[in-house]
Amino acid sequence: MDILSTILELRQTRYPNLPADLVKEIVSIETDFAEDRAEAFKRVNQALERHLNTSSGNDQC
Amino acid sequence: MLKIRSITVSDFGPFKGEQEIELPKEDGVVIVYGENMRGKTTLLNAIRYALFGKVLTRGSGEIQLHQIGNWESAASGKYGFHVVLAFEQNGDAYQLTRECRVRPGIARPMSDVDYIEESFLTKNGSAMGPDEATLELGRIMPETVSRFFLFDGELLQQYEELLRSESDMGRQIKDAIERILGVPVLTNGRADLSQLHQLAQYQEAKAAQRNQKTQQLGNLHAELLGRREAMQQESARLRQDLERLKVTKTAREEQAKKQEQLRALLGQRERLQEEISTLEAKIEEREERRKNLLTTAWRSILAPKITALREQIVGQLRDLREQATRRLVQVETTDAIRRALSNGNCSLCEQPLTEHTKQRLEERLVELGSRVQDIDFDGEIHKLETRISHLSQQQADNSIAVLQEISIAIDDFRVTKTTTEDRLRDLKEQTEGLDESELRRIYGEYEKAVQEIAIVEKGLKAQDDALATINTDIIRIETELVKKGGSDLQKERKRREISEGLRNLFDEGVKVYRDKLKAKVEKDATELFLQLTSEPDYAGLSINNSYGLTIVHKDGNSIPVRSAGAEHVVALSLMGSLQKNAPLRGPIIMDSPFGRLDSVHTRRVIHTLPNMASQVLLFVYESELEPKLARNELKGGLRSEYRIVRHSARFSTVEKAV
Repeated sequence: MDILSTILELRQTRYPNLPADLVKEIVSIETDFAEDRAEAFKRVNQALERHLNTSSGNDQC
Repeated sequence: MLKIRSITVSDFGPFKGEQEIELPKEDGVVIVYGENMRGKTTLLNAIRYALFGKVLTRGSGEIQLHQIGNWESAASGKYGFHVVLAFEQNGDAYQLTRECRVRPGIARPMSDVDYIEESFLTKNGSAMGPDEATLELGRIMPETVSRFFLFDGELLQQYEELLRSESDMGRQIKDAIERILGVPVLTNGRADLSQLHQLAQYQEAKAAQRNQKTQQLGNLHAELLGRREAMQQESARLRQDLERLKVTKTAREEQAKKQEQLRALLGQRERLQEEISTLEAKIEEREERRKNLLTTAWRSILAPKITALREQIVGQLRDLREQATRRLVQVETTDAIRRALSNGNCSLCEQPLTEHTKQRLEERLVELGSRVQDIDFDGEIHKLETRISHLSQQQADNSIAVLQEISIAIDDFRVTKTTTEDRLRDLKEQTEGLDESELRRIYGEYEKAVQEIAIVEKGLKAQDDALATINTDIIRIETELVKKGGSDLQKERKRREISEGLRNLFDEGVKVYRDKLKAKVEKDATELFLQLTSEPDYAGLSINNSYGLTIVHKDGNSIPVRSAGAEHVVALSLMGSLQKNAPLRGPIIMDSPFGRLDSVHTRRVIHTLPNMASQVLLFVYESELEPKLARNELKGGLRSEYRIVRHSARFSTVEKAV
C-alpha cells in the first residue's frame, strides 16, 4: 500500500491545481520526520515558502 | 527493510559473560529453544533494551536496570551489562550498543541511580552523534510500533481489545497499527498544513490591515480569525474531555462487568449455602428415622421365627374355619331329622316315613349327636386373626431393606454436601473482599460519565455549529478581499489558497488511505487466516474501524465469541497482514507463540511463518514446538537453531545446535 501513490492519485483527480512536486515533498518530509513533529512542521513550511517564492507572479499553483 | 544480523548479550539476565546469536543473511526462520526460566524472554528483552533502553515484564511493566545484570557476575564483583545489536536497513550496516555500567566511585550498586547508561550507533562503520542516532533509530524502528515486531505470544489476546470501541488498550493498539501502516504521514501532514493555512489567513488579514483600501475588511478578518481560534481551542478542550470521559465510561463498564461476575458468584455462593442447609436437614431427618428403626432392630433377629409362627397360625385358622363349616352342616342335618321324626313325614318330599326309615333316622341322629362338640368357633377364629395381624405388623416394621435404603440416602446426601462445600470454599475464595458498595460506586461513576458525555457532546455540537458559521463569515471576508485587494495581497492570498488546498487534499487522503488500508488488511488477514485455521466452516475475517478482526462463518454470520486459541490465530493473521502492508518492515521476533495452539494450528502457523515476514526469530520451548516438526514444516526455510543451555539457575549459555 503506497501512501504517495494514493495522495498523488487524489491530487490528480480532485486537486489538479496543486503542484505534484510540493505534494511529494510534503509526503517525504512527513515520512522522514514522523518521530520529530517540530522538524516536520518547520520543513513543510519551508517547502511551501520555497514553492511560493519560485512560482511568484504565477497564479496557477 | 530492517534485518537483524546478530545479537550479543553480556552479563544480561541469566547470560553470564558474552553470548551471541547470529542470524543468517538469507530470508527464513531462526529458532532458539529453551525450557522455562532459562532466558528466552530475556533474549527478547535484550533486543528491546538495545533499541529502546527498556526491559519489560510479561505484564508489560518496566524492570529496573539494577535487576537485569547477571547475578553470578555481580556476586563476583562484576556489575553492569551490555547488548550489541547488528542490523541492516536499506543496504546500510548498523551496530547499536547499549550498555549499563556502574558509576565511578560506587563499589556496590544498590539501585538504578548507581548506574550510567550509554548507547552508540555506527552506520557503515562511522559513529553517529547522539541526536542523529536517536532520529535514525526512530526512523528505522519507532518504539510505538515495536509491538508488531517484538512480541510475547501470551499477550496476543490483547488484540481482541480492537473489537471494543472506546477501550483504552484498543485505542493504543489502533494508533500503533496506523503508525506502522503509515497513516501518521497523512494525519501529521494534515495537521501541519491546517496550522500553516491558519497562519496564512492571519498573514493575509495583517496585509489587508496595512492597506487603507482593505483595512476595514482586514480588521474584521483578523477579529473573526481570533474568535475562531478561541473557539477551536475550546472545541479541542471539549474533545479531550470527551475522550477522557469515554475512557472513564469504558473503564467503569469493564469494572462493572467484573463486579457483575463477582455478584453472580455471590448469588451462587448463597444458593450453595442454602443447598448445604437443605442437605443437612435431610441428613438429620434420615438419621432420626434410622435411629428409630435401630431401636426395634432386635426384632429383625426374630423375623424368621415370626414368619414360621404366622404361617402356622394361618394353617390353624384355615382348619378352624373348615370345622366351623362342618359343624353348621351337622346342626342343620340334625334339625331336619328331628323335624321329620316329629312330623312322621319326609322334610323334603312330605311322604309318610316308613318304620324302617324312622329306625335309620334315629340311628343317624344318635351318630350325629355324638360328633357335635361344644366349641366357640367365632371367638377362636377372631383370636387367630388378631394374632396373624400382630405378627404381620412385626414383620413390616423390621424390614432391613428400609434401614439399608435410609443409610444409602444418608451417604448420598453426605457426598453431595461435601462436594457442595468444596464448591462453596472455592467461591468464597473468589468472592473474598467483595463489597456491594464498591459496585454502587462504580455504577454511580458510570452514570456520571454517561451524563457528562451527553453534556459535552451537546456543547461540542453547539461549538461545531458556531465554527461552521464563523468559517462561512471568514470565507465571505476572504472573497471580498480577493475582489478589493491589490497586488500587495496576492502572495498572502496564494499562500492561503495553496495551504488550504493542500490541507483539504491531505484530509481526503487520510480517509481514502484508511479505507484502502482496511480493505487490504482485511483481504490479506483473511488469506492468512484461511491458511492458519483448521475450521473449514470459516469463510474469513471482517475488519472494523479500529482494525479489529471478527471471524465470519461461511453462512455469512459473525462468530461473536472466540477461544484463546482462535484469538491467537486471528492476531497472527493481523500481524502477517500488517507486515505485508506496512511501509515499515522488519523481523518478527516472537516469544512462546504456540502456547495456546493445538498441534494442527502450530503446524499451520509454522508452515505459514516464512510468508509473514522475511526474517522470523522464535523463542520457544520444545514441548511447544518440537524440533522435528519445525524442520519438517520449514525445510530449507529453517536457517539455524540455537539452544539455551542451563549451567545453574542464574547461568545460561546460548549454543548453536548442530
